This record gives sequence, structure tokens and C-alpha cells, in this order.
Amino acid sequence: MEISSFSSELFEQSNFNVDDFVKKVASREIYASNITETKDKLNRLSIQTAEEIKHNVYKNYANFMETSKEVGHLEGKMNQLRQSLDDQRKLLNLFKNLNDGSNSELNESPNSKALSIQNSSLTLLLEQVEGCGVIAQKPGRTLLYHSDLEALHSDDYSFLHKFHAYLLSDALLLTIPQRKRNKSTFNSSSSSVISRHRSNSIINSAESTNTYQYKFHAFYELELVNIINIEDSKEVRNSFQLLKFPESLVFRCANAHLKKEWLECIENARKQLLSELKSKGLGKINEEDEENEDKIVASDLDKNKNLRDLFSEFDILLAQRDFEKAVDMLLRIKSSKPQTDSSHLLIYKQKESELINILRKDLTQSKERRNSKGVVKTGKRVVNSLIRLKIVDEAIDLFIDYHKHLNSETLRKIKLEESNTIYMNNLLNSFFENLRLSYLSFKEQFSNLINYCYSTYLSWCDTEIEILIKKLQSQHYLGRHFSVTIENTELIFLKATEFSNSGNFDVKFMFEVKLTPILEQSIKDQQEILIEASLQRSKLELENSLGNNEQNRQIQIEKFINDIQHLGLGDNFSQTDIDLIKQCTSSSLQFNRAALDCFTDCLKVYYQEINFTLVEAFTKLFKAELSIYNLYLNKSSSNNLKIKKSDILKNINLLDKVFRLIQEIYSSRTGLNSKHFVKVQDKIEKFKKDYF
Amino acid sequence: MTSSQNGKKQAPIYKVIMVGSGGVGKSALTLQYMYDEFVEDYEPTKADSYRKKVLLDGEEVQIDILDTAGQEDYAAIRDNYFRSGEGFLLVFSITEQESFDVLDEFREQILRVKNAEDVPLILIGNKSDLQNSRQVRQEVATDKANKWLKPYIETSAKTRDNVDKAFFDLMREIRNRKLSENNKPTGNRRDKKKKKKCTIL
Ligand SMILES: Nc1nc2c(ncn2[C@@H]2O[C@H](COP(=O)(O)OP(=O)(O)OP(=O)(O)O)[C@@H](O)[C@H]2O)c(=O)[nH]1
Ligand SMILES: [Mg+2]
Repeated sequence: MEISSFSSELFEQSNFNVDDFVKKVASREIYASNITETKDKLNRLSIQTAEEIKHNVYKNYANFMETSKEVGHLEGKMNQLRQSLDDQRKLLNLFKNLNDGSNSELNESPNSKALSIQNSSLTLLLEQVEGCGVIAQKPGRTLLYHSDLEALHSDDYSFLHKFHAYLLSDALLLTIPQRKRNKSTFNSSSSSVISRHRSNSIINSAESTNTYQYKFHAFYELELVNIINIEDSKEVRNSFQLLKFPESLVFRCANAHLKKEWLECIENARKQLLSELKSKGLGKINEEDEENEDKIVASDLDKNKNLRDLFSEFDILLAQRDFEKAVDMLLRIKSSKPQTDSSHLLIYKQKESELINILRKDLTQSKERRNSKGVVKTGKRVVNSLIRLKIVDEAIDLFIDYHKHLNSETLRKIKLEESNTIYMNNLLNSFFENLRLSYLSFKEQFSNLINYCYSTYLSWCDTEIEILIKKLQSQHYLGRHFSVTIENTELIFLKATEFSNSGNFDVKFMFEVKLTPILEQSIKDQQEILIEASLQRSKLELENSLGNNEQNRQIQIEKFINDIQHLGLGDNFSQTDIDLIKQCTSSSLQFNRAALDCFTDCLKVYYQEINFTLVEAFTKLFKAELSIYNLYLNKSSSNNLKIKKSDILKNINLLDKVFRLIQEIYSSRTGLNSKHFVKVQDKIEKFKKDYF
Repeated sequence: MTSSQNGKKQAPIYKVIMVGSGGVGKSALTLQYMYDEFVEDYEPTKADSYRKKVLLDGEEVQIDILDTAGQEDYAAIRDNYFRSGEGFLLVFSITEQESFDVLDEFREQILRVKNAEDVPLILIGNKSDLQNSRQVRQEVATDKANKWLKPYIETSAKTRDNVDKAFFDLMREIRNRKLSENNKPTGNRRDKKKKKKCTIL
């Protein structure tokens, strides 16, 4: 006995020496049984350590997940803040403009002022122009002026086509009217003057079905272009020129006044930009950059043309819904594009978001149609496209989004069954099958990004598990009834282990963490129920108000012995123990049987997290039972009770026996010895000594 | 590029850029050349473009004059202009030494931006009617022009002295440059075009 009574603390001592330990063990009398016992004990200890390590690893995971969730949350908050700051800044700018306007432009034409106030928000842009979301997103950017303009051939000033141009605080945006329904309107406008407001309303009524009046055409940063006034001549009037070598665009305004406004607004915007740049201390282009730039000028020329072609090819592919090729095209553009050119970068970004939006929309639609196959197909497509475009964060978000949808769909479809087991099996099988599939496609789609996205994926699994458990809890499959809770928990752990063992990641820990509070509550509740029941039965027993006492007792004896066999504890009861059982009162038999039952149940789902609750519950339970016997004895001394003192001793002996058994199976299952249990055991001993 | 959309043959365009510091008379020269008028008041230019048809040695051409701001505070913006120009009038005022001195910088910027060792360019000493206030002696200016291997012309926007000559000489330089470029066998793009034509024929 001594050999096997060492504890794990022994190994934790810093001066522990294996050889000494073995010598010490070997120096004593050795029986085979002792050696096996020691071996078992060591095995148990190593299992326990392994569990603890596993447990700690998971704890780290859990912490990590919590943190990453928190970070995501904070990021969202930051975005919100940024946006509201932008809004504020825009408002402030607007007020500033209003002030400036009323101070200095009192005598100016009321027309231009009204326009600049009315439209300095970019919402107008978002409303009128298709595909300019990216442009409107830039913080601090405002709309200064806009009107129709005619583009002229720069060689002979012949009419080319109509633009609607927007002057932003840092750029000029050219758009073309969507679909020309009434061609003559536009052609005749080249020779006749149409006020911009009227032309807007014409387009409006013609395009009542299309929400956007204009389509994005080109974008020029004011910093990088020259705006040149063209002196009126026989050939051309009311015009100005935009120069961004080698591009040269000539715009004709509807009248001299409009041209004056355009040039003034551009001039003011550029002055503003310049002073902003100067105050920031960064002249945008320094001399060294210029040199490099010059060398690529010639190839830029070809590139610009090429890019334009590629962009329009992309548009066609998008229209044909050939997403695969569209992504290819974008990648081609990306690789050929000089990153320095911010206007191209903008168009690129815009095309990219166009593509993603369409893919996203597809996904939403198939989700709405509740078409799981469609969701998988479109989901995979958008995720793959995003990955190829290297938009990984959004890819994993969408991946999770559609798998989340799939999960909730499957769970929703599982019919409630009358049988707990059938329902639980169906539910868990589908859940783990989905998880398996999601993991499979996660590995497949994110193949070389797994490390980067793994924590996000795991954190999602974690939430899915939580959802599952909440669902089970709300339907009383967990947490309501003790034995159902234990049965279902056991099944969950079984399936989780199966899942992990078939080459997937470890989910049991995740379940454990979520189930802990439920199990703890369940154990506590059950402990209270058992105490309460025993108290009631003892009262009745004392008052001897139980009818046919002996018959009931015989039934209880039979049940007890049956249960022992059933729980596989038959070997732990000797003939004397059986004889003892046969002499106990029925309340004692009922208590001990229920306690044993409950304890073996708890051990079925045992894991470290619930250890404390388990020990605490059974400590309380046996203490409470002991105090009932205390009550018996006190009463038996005053009254002449039906129950003799010797009967009580037998009851206590059975309690003693069962409690020892509980400790035994506890330490054989967990490899632990509980101080709390030992204390209760001491109490029982003392109780016996004091009274008998 | 030289034919318009309606197929009518368009007179070739010569793109001239006026370069020089503020107040030297770039606009005055341009206006005198374009409209035969002289403006006494000084109004700093931003960027103006003029175009008119002229007869250059019997051939009808269009001159496109870009009058830039001498007081451009944004040096980078000038690159763009210079790239689009074919010939340059580098103007200083003979009454202002500094306007003469800065021209070296302008020239270097032009050469760098055009990525060429030589571009059509004429050194112009303006305000020759103000001999009394002269700060830049004629020999000094000629020296600089010689060093650049470029002509030097003294003009007066007020009296119209040498104004036409300045523009026409520059146009001739541009024309010569264009001709020599066309004849150069190294012009890849033009070669391609010619080949295409041959196959069509
Ligand atoms: N006497 C005289 N005055 C001249 C001559 N050329 C220009 N001026 C005057 O010099 C002043 C400036 O002339 P501009 O032509 O406006 O100068 P600029 O070079 O265009 O100046 P920026 O546009 O600021 O670059 C004006 O008052 C002109 O009248 C000239 O040849 N003789
Ligand atoms: Mg001027």
C-alpha cells in the first residue's frame, strides 16, 4: 500500500530522481499486485498530465479566439468612428464653405454659390453616377461643381460626345449619360445651349427605370493635370482644355458664364490643394521621382491604351458573367499596371468592387432562395475569386458567412423526434457532417493561407458550437433533466471525439468549455434534489408512516443489488457487504443507490473543468446524509423510536462503504485524490467512534 | 492624327510653348502675334491656349500657342506642359537680369522632360524698346544662345519688332525637326504603319 500511496506532488519536487525512486520502491517487499498497482497509478498520472496539457493548450486557443473576436469588434468600431468623423468633417467643410461664400461672394453670381452649397456632399455623386462608390469613399473629398460638358476633338475642335463632369475637391470626374435614348437631344445640344438643369431633367425622365443617370468614364487628379483656357476664336468658343500628357481633352461649355465658373472653381480647388500640400510639407513629386518617371513615359503611353482595352474587356466578361475570366483579367491588369498612377488604381479598385458586389449579390440571392447547393457553388466562387485577388480577410468572412448559413439551414431542417436519442443522433450527425465539409473546403480553398485564417475559422466553429448548444438547451435536451443532460453530453463527446479522430481538428475542448456551466448547474441541482428526497424519506421513516415498510425495504434491497451489478460494481461488494445491505433501512438504501447512480453518471462525462463542482456536490451530499443520522440518534435518545440504534449503525456502515467506493472509482477514473472527500470520510469515522 | 473625322485634310498643328518668368512679356508677345495688339496692363497668366491658321513658307499650318504662367508655384505641373510642346520660346526681359538667369533651369527641365538632347527652341530677349533700362547685354545673351546652339532674337511686344520672326523661325525649326524625324528609319511606329499600307496596296 505504501508504495502506491505516492502522489503526483512527489514528481513535481525539483530534486526528484528516477533511480532513487525506483530503488526505494524496490527495496521494500514487492508483490506482483503492488507493482501493477504502482504501474496503474503511474499510468493514471501520465494520462492526467496529458489531459492537463491538452486542456491548457485549449485554454490558450480559447483566449486567442476571444482576443481575435474582440479585435474584430474593435476594428468595426474604428471604422464607424472614422466614418462619423468624416461626416463631421464634411459638415464642417460645408459650414466653412457657407461662411466663405457669404463673406466673399456676396456680389458673385447667385448661381454658382447655390450650386456649391447645395452639392458639396458627395451623396449626389452616389445617387447619379453608377460605380463611383470608391471615389465617394475618400475622406475629405467634396463635390464643388458639376455640369454637362461637350468633349471636342483636340485637333479640329469637332464635336465628340457629351460628358457630365463633376469637379471634386481634388479631382475631375467624367461621366457619360447612361444609354442615349433620345439621340437627337444630345446631338442638337452641341449647337444649342441647354441649361444643365434642364438637361438633367431630360435624362431623368428618359431613364426612369435606371436609377443612375451617368456612368463612370474617367477620373483625373487635379494635381496631375493642367487645365488650360482656350481663347475664343472662329473655330471654338467657351472651351477649356485638360492636359495630362499624352491625353488632351477639349471641353466646350454651354456658355461663357459656365466656362468662367468652371475655370474659377478649378483654380480655387487647385489653390486649396496646393496650400494643403504645402502645409503638409510634401510637394508630391520630388526631383528624383521625376527622373524615373520620365524613363517610363514612352511605355506608359502604350500601357494607358492597353489598360483601357483591358478594362473594357473586363466589363464585357462581367456582363457575360464569366467570373473566372474576369478575375484573370483583373489580375492581368494588376500585374501590368504601374501602381503609381492613382487614377488607374482607382478604376481598378472600382472594377474589383464591381465584380465582388455581383458575386456577393449572387450569394445573397441563393441564400434567400434557400438553395443549399446554389449557396455552396456561389459561395465557393466568390471566396475563390477573393482569394485570387488577394482580398483574404473578406474571403474568410464570406466563407464563414455562407457556411454559417448552411449550418443553420441544416439544423433548421432536422425534425423534432419523440425519442431523445434519435433526435440527438440526427442533429449531431448533421452538425458534424457540416463541420467536416466546411473544414474540407476551408483546407482546399485557403490552402496556403490556412495559417493566416485558421484562428478566424476556429473562432467561427466555436460560435457554431455555441449556437448548437444554446439550441439544445432551449429545447431542454441539455440542462433540464439530469440524466438526459448526461446522456446527451456523453453522445456529444462521443461524436466530437469521432470527429477529431477522423483527421479533423480537435473540437471536444470547445464543447467542454460551452457545456461546463450547464453541467455544473445540472450536478448542483441533482445534488439538491437527492438531499431533499433523502430528508423527506427519513422524516417519514422516523414517523413510521410508511405503509408495509418491510415489503418496500425488500424491493429496495433488490433494486440496490441489481444496480450494483448493472453499474459493474458487483465485484466491489463482498458477501458481508451484501449482508449489510440486507439489514439497512429503505431510506438508506434509496439514498445510497441514487448517490452511486448519480456519481457514475457524472464520471461518464467527466473532464477537468467540472471536477470541482463534482467533488463539492458529493461532499455536500454525504455531509447532509450524515447529519440526518445525527438527527436520528438525537431523537432516539429522547423518544423510543421504531428504529433501533443498531439499525442506524448499519445504515452508517453502508454509507461508509458506498462513500469509500465512490472515492475509489473517482480516483481510478480521474487519477486524483480529493482532500474534501478525505475530510468527509474522517467525519464518518469520527461519527462512528462518537456514537458507537 | 492630322486628318479630322470628316476626312478633310487638316492643316498640321505646331505646338509652341511660351516659357519664362512672370512679367517678361510672354502674353504680350502672344497677343501681339495673334491679334496685333499690345496690352499695357499686366495681368498674370494661368494657362491660355491660342490657335490660328498661318501660311508658313506657302504652306497652311496651324500654330497652337500655349501661354504659361511665369509665376507657376507648382513646378511639377510644368512637366505636363513641356511634354505636350513641340517648340519653345524661352523669353526673358532685357530689363531684368534674373529673368535671363533662370532660363538655364527652364531649358534643362524641358530637355529632361522631353527626354531629348535637342528640341526646337529660341532664346528671346523681350522689351527691346526699353533700351534705357537694359540689364542684359546683347553679347551675353548671344553667348548663352551659342552655348545652347540656338538662335537669339530680341523682340518688342510693344513695337512688334521681331515678333513675327520669333514665331516663324520657331515654326520652321519645328517643321525641320518633324521632317528629319519622319525620314529617320528608327521611328518604329511609322515603319509599322508604312508596312501596313504596303500590304493593303
Ligand atoms: N515696354 C514694354 N513692355 C512690355 C513688353 N512686353 C510686355 N510688356 C509689359 O510687361 C508687363 C508684363 O507682360 P506680360 O506679357 O503680361 O508678362 P508675362 O510674361 O505674360 O507674365 P506672366 O503671365 O505672369 O508669366 C505688361 O505690363 C506688359 O505691358 C515690351 O516688349 N515692351
Ligand atoms: Mg502672361
